[in-house]
Amino acid sequence: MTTTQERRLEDTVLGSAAGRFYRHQNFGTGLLGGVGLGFLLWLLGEYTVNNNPNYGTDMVVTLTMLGWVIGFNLGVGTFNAVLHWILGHDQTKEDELYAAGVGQGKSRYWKYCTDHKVVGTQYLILVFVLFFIGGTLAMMIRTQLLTPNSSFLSPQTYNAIVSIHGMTMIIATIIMVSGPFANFIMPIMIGAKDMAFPRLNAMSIWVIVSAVPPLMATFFVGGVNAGWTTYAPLSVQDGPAMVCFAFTIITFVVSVTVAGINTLITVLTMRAPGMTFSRMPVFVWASVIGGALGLYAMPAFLLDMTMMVSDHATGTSFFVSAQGGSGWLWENVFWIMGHPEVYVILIPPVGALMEVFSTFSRKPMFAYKMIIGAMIGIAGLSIMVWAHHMFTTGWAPDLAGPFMLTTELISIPTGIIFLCAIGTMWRGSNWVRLPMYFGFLFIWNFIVGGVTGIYLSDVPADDYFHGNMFVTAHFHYTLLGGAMIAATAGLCYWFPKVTGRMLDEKTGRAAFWLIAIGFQVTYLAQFYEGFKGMPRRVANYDPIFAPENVVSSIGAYVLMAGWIVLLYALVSSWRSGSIAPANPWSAKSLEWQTLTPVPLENFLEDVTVVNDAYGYGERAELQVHAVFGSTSDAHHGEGH
Amino acid sequence: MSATQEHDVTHEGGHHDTPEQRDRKELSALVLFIAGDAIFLILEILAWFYLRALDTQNGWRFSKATPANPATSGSNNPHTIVHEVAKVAPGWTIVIAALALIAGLAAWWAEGNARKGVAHAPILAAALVVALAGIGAQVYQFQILPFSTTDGTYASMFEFFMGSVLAHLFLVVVVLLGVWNRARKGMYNEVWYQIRLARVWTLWVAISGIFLAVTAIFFA
Repeated sequence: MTTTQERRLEDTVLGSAAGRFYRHQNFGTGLLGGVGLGFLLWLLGEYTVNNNPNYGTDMVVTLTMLGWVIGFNLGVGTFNAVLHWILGHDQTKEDELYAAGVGQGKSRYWKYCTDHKVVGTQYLILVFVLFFIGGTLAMMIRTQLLTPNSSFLSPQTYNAIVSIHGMTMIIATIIMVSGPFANFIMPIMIGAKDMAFPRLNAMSIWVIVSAVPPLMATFFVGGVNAGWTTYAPLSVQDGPAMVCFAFTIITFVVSVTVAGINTLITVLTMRAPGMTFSRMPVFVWASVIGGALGLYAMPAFLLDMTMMVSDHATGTSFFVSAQGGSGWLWENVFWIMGHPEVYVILIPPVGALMEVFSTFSRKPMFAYKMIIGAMIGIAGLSIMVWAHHMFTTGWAPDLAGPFMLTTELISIPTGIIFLCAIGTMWRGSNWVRLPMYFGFLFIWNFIVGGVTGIYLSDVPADDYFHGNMFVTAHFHYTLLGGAMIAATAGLCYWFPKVTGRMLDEKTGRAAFWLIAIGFQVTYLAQFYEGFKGMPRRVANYDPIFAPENVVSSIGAYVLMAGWIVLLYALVSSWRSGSIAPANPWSAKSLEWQTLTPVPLENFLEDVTVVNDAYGYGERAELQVHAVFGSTSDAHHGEGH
Repeated sequence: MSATQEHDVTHEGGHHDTPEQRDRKELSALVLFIAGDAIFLILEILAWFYLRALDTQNGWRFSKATPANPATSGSNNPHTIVHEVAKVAPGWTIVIAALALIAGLAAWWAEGNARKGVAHAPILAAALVVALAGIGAQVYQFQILPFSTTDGTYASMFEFFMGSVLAHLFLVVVVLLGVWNRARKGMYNEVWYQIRLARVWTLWVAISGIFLAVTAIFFA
């Protein structure tokens, strides 16, 4: 590709006034703003509403959390653009370039930055932090469960850790692909210069950052004892920690909604010429479907959590049976969100994985349209299955059959995606690099997770398995063994493009084997615990379950060791790995056709897409995905 | 640099977009946002009907009935919650939705004037004042309700609806404040699509307010 230096915006020298307030704002000022306003509203609450004997404390905590979230985002610069807009002071081009990180070096990663690649990297780091927290909590859980009557943790602390482990991991997995890769990679894949709304993009990351401290604060105000699903009435009986928990979710919903809209509009309006829907890479489709499903699911999460805050802080009784409320309302609304959310987590990583399979098999995507149709089918069915989580609650027994049917129907489009994945690899020139290792692991894990899901969708079987360790093993096989492993494949695949360095393959493979073996040991043992009838979420258990728990805990330590080794490989490679070429995998999609590091507006020349991105082994004219340059001097990109 | 020129060179929204492109993008985003908000609205109303149908432990309306408090004193008493609400609360609910509707229609009028190149800032100022009046009316309604949040799930849902309307009106005021201020500075003399966005949002808030009002009034 021709390098046209004069068009590189990142080389622009900005005036000293560029950026205005942004110049003085960063993560530190965000912390100051959050703590400051949080403290002020706490004081206000203490002197105004804390005298209410029933819910004064919860109201004070509500005000404090509100102050934290608003203050942090004011401090970091999230609202600058809105305030400028209201005042009628549009930002100049220099201001915009400053906001995009021009001339700021690495400090831009600590600031409100509108460059989608910076936002993607910020998401990636946040995901690492969340997984580290969630993983550490998981190790504490498994340590507690090493022996039947362990006193490593008190029962209350154990419950609190289980709850926050669950929600931390759910948040992390929801954003683990839609955050880093739908931000960093997806716009480049469609030939766009940025996301449709760069400011909203930056807003989405900083709003979600502000959601994390309230979640951790739960430990200091009594802990959440109701599990990550926070079923009523347990959650209504919880203390102010539940308010912090709900605030995390409310803030998180704002971020996910904004990010989802941004993704959809970016794909709808910013595709390069020639990038028709039928030429869009599968990962782009997966991001769109995941984003759309998130838009459907998140309002339910918002409603449930807002009502929960209201029950705690204003004395309403949505979930208090003694005053006319119902725990079933919570469960219904929660799972109207909850099951689509599983596919918000799953579909984007699967899309990423399909890119890996095609690239490393050197074959066109097998049944491309079937894959897209299956993803849409999964998304559509996922909104009609929520009550399979409630078979044993007594809610609407007559609907158990229909919900069992819709749930089992999901296995059809899921199976289609499996077949397409295998079809893509079948008789390909398979190049088994680290992303493929994780791809193979996904295939095995998700088969186990998927098949055991059919057991749970079956009403009679669910009567036995519900609420026991079988469920725990099942959803870890799907979300950790499936989605997270697929996301890891994506991470290994795009690592050279994101960091400009090659990932240390040798250390990565060592990590892979630890993860693969540790995972099976951990969760196959938990399946066995489930078969024997061990309930989940218990701090102490009958000694008859001891052998499986010892095995599961040992497996968990091996698994954690694997993740730590992988983290080491990622960090050391990022810091000092060998410099990555622009297209180390000789892949065809657009992100590999541009420079590494990627220029500010992604491409130095205009992009015109002429075929899909999977023309491996096709006749010459179909192998070219895109041409670069103006119409008159267009030339073919690399990788054809 | 004139406002329009400044608008054209801005880097936001996909780098050097034309106003037409930004119009398309921002309207599409608003439609998606409204779709998400509509799901929230539908679930709110479903929650209303669900709790009303369950009426757990007769707690929908009268959980704190006492002879001394006729406003919440049993289903056969003429001074029930419903009776009081019929006198006070729904009337204001309709008034508030109507104020949002008027604000939206005013924004529509302003948009038409902006298209024709005639005065539109004063009309947007009027829309803003009407929306602020809506917020004032909503706060007033909170103060005059003959029940509190602790009086059963009817009261809980009713006040939740009001809180929802208040939050939406707050966003209407923020949007109209910005649009009016920019109109006042002449920033919509040539490119006025943001007035359309304000109009669409304000009218949606009015429509959702009407749905909530109808639910609260006719299905108590």
